[in-house]
Amino acid sequence: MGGKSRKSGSISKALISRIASKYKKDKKGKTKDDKRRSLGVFKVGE
Amino acid sequence: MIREEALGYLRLVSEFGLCPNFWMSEEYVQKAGLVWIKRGLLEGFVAGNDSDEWFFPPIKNGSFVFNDNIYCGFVDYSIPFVQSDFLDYQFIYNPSDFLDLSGGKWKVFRKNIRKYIRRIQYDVVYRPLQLDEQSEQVESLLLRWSSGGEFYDPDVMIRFILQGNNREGLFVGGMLVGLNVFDENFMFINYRYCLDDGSPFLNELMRFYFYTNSARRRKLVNDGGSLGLEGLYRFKCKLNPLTVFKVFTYKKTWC
Repeated sequence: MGGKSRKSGSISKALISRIASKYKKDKKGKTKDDKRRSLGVFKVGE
Repeated sequence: MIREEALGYLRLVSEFGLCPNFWMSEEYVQKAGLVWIKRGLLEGFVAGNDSDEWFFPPIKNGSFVFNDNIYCGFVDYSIPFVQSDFLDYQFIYNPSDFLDLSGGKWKVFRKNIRKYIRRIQYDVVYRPLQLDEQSEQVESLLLRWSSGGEFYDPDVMIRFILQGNNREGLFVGGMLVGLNVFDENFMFINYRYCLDDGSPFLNELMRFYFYTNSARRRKLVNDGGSLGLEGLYRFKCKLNPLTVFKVFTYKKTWC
């Protein structure tokens, strides 16, 4: 094994919740990422 | 945007007749949050804007460049005069091989996949999961399966498991007990994750369902590497791979 691009760690409920919250939709069917995108706060490549 | 760059990159890989590695897929690029950047005459994917290595071989004037710091190259592709270090294996399987498990080389696997089913008294259903379907059960299975373990790229893993475009679950009496997650590129189906609830022999059964279901897709399966784990290497070898390739990391050499 080599390379440094990959990081390792354990999987916790907190990490799952943090990642899942980006996908969860509000009443209008929009995710947090949709809202960020509509505000133009995404970086190039996102 | 990143989708177009991923598709364009893979198109070039195909045009050059190269073999994409396990991480070269449109869905992986998106879920890993890779970024497409230009540095001088080179352009390609990096793991973050401040990363000092390319994730895949970058492109210069429509051709791939290897004499640079690159996390992972193409499958079975080492370049003369460029320093390369072994990164991992890539186990390639023909899913059709799993349709007929006759003969001595399948004896142990054949016996093992029957052992789980024999103990179950409920209905067993293996089927695709829709996006957002059974999310609580998926989370619960993920926590159970991963408990105490250390994993590479846990955030990427969670994104694939919770929101993957291709997920197939095994339900026993309506409860999710196993999950297969995969994606694909122009050459391979990439078998990313195989989760089970820890029951003996369920992992083998999940793999059996995955491969037999994949046979209709008429592509070979790239099951990734062994992550430096001897036990995983032996386990994957016992599943009779079609071939085992190597993938390399490249280091820039000044000449």
